Amino acid sequence: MAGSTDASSAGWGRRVAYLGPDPGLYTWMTPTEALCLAGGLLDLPADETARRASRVLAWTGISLAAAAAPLSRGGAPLQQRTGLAAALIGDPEVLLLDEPLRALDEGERSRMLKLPDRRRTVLLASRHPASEAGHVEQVAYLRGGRVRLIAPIAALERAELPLSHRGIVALAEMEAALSVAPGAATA
Amino acid sequence: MLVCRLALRELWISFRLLLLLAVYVAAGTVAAVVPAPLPTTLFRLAVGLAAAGVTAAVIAAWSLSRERALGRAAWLATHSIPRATILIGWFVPLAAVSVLGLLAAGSLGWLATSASSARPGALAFAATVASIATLVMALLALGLLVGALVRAPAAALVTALACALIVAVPWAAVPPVTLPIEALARLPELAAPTSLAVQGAGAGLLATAVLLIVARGALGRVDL
Repeated sequence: MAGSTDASSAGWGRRVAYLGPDPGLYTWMTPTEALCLAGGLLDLPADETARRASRVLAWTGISLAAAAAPLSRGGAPLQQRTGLAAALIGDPEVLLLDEPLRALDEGERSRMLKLPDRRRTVLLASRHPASEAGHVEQVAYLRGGRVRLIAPIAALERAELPLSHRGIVALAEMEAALSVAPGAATA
Repeated sequence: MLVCRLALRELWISFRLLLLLAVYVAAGTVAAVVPAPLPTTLFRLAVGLAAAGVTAAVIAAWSLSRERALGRAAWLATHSIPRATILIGWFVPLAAVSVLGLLAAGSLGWLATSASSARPGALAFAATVASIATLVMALLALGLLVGALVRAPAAALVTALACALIVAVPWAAVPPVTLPIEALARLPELAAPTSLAVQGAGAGLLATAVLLIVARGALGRVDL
């Protein structure tokens, strides 16, 4: 990944984190146990893991009582909150989010996607781009495994296109037409 | 080691570990409790152990395919756990539980043969049970290979069919191919049961190694 084949915590393991639509946590674990496991896998010292765990638990809105109960009791919302907390515990430079936090209500989801602390690159994959308004600065369009478009949100606004799948596809087609016929674009 | 602990706890909490142990113990108990002539007792024990081995392989396939479907394997892989470690992390606890189950079933089976004057030698019996353990390991590796490629519940079905064929076809073959399970059923008739068991154990270990290598390759290429 990113030119590195070292997946250990010394390589890209701590620099890149991923959260998918299904957080992939063992539901018999408590959120605290899941975070300790994530911290341990990233080779964080125990005291540092505990310090970071309390911080990300607070950010993701997991109460002390919920943090001590099995994930299965809290259902999908608690599992997704814990998944985000586990992704953040390593303080990654790059965060890959694939349809994240869909089980949360829109307000809570928006608050949590405005990620805390340091500046980091967040790549958010979504089939509902309209719901990501306010979280993203750029849009990218992938088709057939290739990137067809990378453009700032302002490009959509300039073209008076909505932040939607249709709008992004239309912008990609416009950009492709411009790149094929630059003369026509300047005319 | 970490994945082994996670797998063991997952097996325990989901009752899969108890189910596996129960099938082995049931195989030994049926042989020990139901009175029958020695050949029938050994046949029952062999069939029970074959069923337990197939169950173990189905649990292996189901477990690994569920780990993939629930995103747990992907979560571990994104936390610096190599895919080979995930595979071995599931193989080791399942193999350990199977060996424990075989020990229990083998002890019960040995007790069941005590009434017969034609009782096989202890070394031959122990060597045959040990060779069955290597066959079960090969079935487990096959289950993990299927689990790495196929989604549950199809993985469980494919594994059950494949393992049942592996166990049953040599039994029906003419001339007979002596798998360790069949050797157990025919133990009093065999001329050199210990050497046959050692050969079976070697073949079982080789099959296990090959299947684990293939499963590692498969798991390395699929989407987790």
